[in-house]
Amino acid sequence: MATWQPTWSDPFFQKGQVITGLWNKKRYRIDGMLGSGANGEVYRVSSEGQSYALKVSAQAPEISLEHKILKQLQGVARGSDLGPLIFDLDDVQTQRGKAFFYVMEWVQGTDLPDFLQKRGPHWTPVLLLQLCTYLERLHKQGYCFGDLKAENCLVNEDRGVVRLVDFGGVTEFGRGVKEYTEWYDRAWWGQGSRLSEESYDVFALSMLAVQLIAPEARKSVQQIGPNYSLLKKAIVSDPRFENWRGLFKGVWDGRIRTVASLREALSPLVKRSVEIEKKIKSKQKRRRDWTDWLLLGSAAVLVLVFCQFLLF
Amino acid sequence: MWKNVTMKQILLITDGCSNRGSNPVEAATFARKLGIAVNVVGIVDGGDLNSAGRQEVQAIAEAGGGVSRIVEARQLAMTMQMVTKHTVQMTIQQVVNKELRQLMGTDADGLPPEKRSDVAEMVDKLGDEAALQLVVVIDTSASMHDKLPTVREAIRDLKIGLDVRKGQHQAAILTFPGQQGEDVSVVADFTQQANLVDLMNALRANGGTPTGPAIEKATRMLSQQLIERPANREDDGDGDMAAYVV
Ligand SMILES: Nc1ncnc2c1ncn2[C@@H]1O[C@H](COP(=O)(O)OP(=O)(O)O)[C@@H](O)[C@H]1O
Repeated sequence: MATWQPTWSDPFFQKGQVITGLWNKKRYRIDGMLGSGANGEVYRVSSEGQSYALKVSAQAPEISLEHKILKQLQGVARGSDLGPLIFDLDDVQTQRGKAFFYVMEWVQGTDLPDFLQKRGPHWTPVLLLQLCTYLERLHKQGYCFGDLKAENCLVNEDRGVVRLVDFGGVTEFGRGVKEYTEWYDRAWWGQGSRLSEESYDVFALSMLAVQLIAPEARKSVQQIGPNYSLLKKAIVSDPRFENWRGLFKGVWDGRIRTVASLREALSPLVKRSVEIEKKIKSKQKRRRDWTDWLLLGSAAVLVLVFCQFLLF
Repeated sequence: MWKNVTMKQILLITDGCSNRGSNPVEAATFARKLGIAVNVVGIVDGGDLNSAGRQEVQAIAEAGGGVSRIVEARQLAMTMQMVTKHTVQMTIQQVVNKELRQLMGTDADGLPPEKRSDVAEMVDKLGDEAALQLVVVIDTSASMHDKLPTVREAIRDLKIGLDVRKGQHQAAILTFPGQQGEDVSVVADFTQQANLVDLMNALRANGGTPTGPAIEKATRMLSQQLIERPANREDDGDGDMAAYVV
């Protein structure tokens, strides 16, 4: 829902500032801003030597409801990190008046486009498959994620594990999706309602695939507005989507409306990705061996030269 | 209980100061007296929303017991949804706060955060279930010309959002100035399904900005119309709570 702070107002907190919750009296040092959106601001904070993420808003209901859902998810899915872990919910006095915040686990990671840039586009199906698993677990709890988008996914760089942040769009099945982003919203594309249900997330996931494979498509859409048949044409004729056409056709003709069917369509793509990654890994290995020899060789030559000096 | 309550709202979309007819702030004050909330979205880009315009936007919403927001055209769709939902919830929150003060001597903000979450959840649910009657009042003065495609998109989007609410809704669309030089014209009334193709043809930017008369017309429409209520729902004794709202 809405935030009534005018867009030009100052941020709630300054770096280095220490804040104290009005009810629970916990103290947090502000270490920097992680992001801001329609719904508030997210800061990296520390308390007793631990780092956390703190989300603050002038709107109590948004913070309360988001906190409640995260808490609930934490309860059912212990250890399986469905959402960021939750630590505190409190009020704080700021220069902008009373504000409301909750404290959660700081999820570290790179955003999806950066990660793909570094590790190669063959990681796309792997990331989407992980999101499928994620969504399946959320759907089991009776919730739709709603605002699925690249900015709300963070990947751990070493292990390639995806986590979702921003649960502001998470909506009980059967209601109107609380928060959404046009590009990912099937209703905006004229492809269905904005009702919170499994197929809503599936459509968003398919748009995330387009966004990751052909990032420039979204920019051109901004000029012409939503035209789904044009987008379809672009996908059909674009060589980058060569292996993806089966999946997209499934989304278009209604065969893929569940996460399970999307996962199935992803699996051949994932297999191919694993092959590619294996090749890259083995190439890297061979190259390392060769450079190792080079290093060892040059070291040996150096030693020999050095010895020559000593001997003669 | 809230299923028997109809929220009444006017949503005014404008990019400039009124310059014709009655005073819009007075019109909004009158609407509020009849239990109608007035929300205003001011669009900034390209238009002539100077500081007088901004002040008027704010003053109308304040007098009308609603909220105002000044945004760029691209944020219009999202903002229209947000102000509508926000005002529905605010109306319910006010009634809930009144009850809370009687029961516990504090409103929701005075409750410990965890308890407040339960209230927030209830208000959120009730807001979704309440019936809503909405008149969208669109400024079609000359300066709005370039923004009308965006406005049409935003109205389409608003309808998508209203369609997934649990509560019933009825929406009407007015433009000011009217299409034949009159102050206001009704593009779609409550009983018509807003046909966006018709709307596309109807929206032609021209003339001055008779904001006051447009709010008055919307107020008249809202005070005449009542959403049909299912007759079989028994009265669950919360009728007096409803009285605060409508
Ligand atoms: N737990 C978290 N750990 C790390 N970064 C986060 C966390 N939560 C949010 N962020 C960052 O902050 C940004 C904005 O937060 P978000 O919850 O999306 O706000 P809004 O709902 O207002 O858009 C996110 O896109 C993300 O980059």
